[in-house]
Amino acid sequence: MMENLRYPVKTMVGLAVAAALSLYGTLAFYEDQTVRNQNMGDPYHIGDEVQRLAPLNREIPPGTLLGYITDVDRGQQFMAVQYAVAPRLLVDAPLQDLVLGDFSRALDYAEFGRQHGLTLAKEFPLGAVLFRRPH
Amino acid sequence: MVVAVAIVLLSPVVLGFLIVRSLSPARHPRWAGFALHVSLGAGLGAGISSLVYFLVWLLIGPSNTAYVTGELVLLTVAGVGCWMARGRSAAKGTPASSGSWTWLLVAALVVALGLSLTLFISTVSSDPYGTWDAFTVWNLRAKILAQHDASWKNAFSPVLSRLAGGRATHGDYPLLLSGYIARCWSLLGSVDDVTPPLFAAGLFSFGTVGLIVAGLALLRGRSAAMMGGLVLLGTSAFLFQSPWQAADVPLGFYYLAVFVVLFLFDAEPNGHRAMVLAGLAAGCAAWTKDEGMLFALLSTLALAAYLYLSKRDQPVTTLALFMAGAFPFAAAALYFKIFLAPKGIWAPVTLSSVAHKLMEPGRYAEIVKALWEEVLAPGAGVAHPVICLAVLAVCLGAPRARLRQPIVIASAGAWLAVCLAYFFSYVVTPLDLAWHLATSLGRLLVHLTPSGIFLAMVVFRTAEETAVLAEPQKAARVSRKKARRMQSARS
Repeated sequence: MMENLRYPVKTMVGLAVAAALSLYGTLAFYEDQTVRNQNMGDPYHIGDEVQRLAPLNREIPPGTLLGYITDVDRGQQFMAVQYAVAPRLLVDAPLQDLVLGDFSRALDYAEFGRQHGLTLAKEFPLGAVLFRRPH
Repeated sequence: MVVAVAIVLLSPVVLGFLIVRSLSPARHPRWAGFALHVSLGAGLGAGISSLVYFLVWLLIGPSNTAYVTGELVLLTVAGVGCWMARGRSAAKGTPASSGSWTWLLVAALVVALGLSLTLFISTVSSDPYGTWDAFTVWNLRAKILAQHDASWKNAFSPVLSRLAGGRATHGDYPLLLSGYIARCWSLLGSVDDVTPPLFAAGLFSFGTVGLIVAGLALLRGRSAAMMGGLVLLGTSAFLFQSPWQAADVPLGFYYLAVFVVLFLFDAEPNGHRAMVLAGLAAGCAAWTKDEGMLFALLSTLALAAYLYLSKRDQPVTTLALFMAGAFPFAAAALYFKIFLAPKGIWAPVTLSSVAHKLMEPGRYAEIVKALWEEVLAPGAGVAHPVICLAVLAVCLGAPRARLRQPIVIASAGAWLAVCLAYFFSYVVTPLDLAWHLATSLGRLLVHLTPSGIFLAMVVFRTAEETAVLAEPQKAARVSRKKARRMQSARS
């Protein structure tokens, strides 16, 4: 029965063209995305932040509200740090009892803290610092 | 540890499979029926486990023991339901005999699927934390929801909503995706494991492919199924967003699931129980994103319109079964929105601001321009889903009788109504229009792409249907030739 069916040329052409175009679309995207993966990787450096802030996370209970102070442009960095310290919540101002300092270069952190009314509590590697706000 | 991860990740899939299997009969061809049960079950299972997790955390308090007990009870009930339904199978429809050439389409789909899977793995290996929305909204909230003390409610605290000027994190968004990932993290005891969000991304992406292929295979045969899968996998926007770990691909999955189940119900005389599955999918959409709430409402209206137009028997029972499936999710979403969630982006909208914006022609022009650019984006030049569907529309056509079918009218109406609602949400948005369009329009189109492809493919003639038409044409040609020969012999 199946052998008796005859498919019109128009049908076969339509299916062939649509299938070929779709497959070409998959292939073209495959090439583009492979290049993107090689060049971009983790564009927001979340993995780096998670690793950098892991020692700090071990010192602060989950659910703590943390202030935030930094010497870099906040923008995307703030959200990357927020994800890395979650479930602790960051407040984008140094007004909480505990304040997370996020620095791009080595500074006199105690002096930086004093200028903002904060006391240095602990230094962590790679520019992560914990301050306390004195009552 | 690997076994524990596998059990935690796969138990919702098994739960969903058992629920789908107990409410939907075994179908023919068998491979398509099985693929439908697995892919639909995977998405519904994720949604159900997310809801159970939220309810346990809210009503009993954070407790893995209570959650696991709840999931085991559901698994048992679904298992019993599946066992009781073991003898039920759908009536065999007209056999969709396919030409041997359809194996070429099968091979093409296998190649496309292989490339997509390889690319998915390569992308999540190089960027395991996903896109901006993944780590500022969905996975961030999942980390907080996974806590075993009162701090889990911080996931919808006003502080979270104010982060980065209130634009980065949406504490008011429904909790399906975050809840599902939080469930996995809570059971695994670590919020640093990237496996659950990556698994969720894969589950919904490849579940969508499975669902469109299985749905079309059951409704229209093998060639339509393979073409539907190929067109979807040729859509670069879908492939691009698949590893993002945002809620847009899952929402597209649930939209598609509702349409697939509605069409299967239409094709089956006694498939009323399956309406619970359509309701569950619509409810999951409402529990995934705000747009899903609108879709749940519109799909309910579409079902009511279909039942009215088609004069199907037991319309009230059918509608009640649909609503029974959707109710737990819709109720949880409404409770969350009214009592727990902070104010969302729509809070500052007033009637006068809406009226004012509706009268600004510049906003329409800006939206249409952005829409044009975004609609061009999902393809690679001529390899564009719209072009592929246009080629199929020209070459296969759509039977008029099918276009007039109540299920087609109701489904297309619901789909177009969602498109219109999306359009006007931009017209009246309280946010900066250019920023809102730039950050969301591409994702919104991905909600609609799988169901758009499904609706187009289900309406088009199948290759097999054109072949049936080809026989009389050939016979007519032969008889015309015969007549000409006889005429020339006489003269």
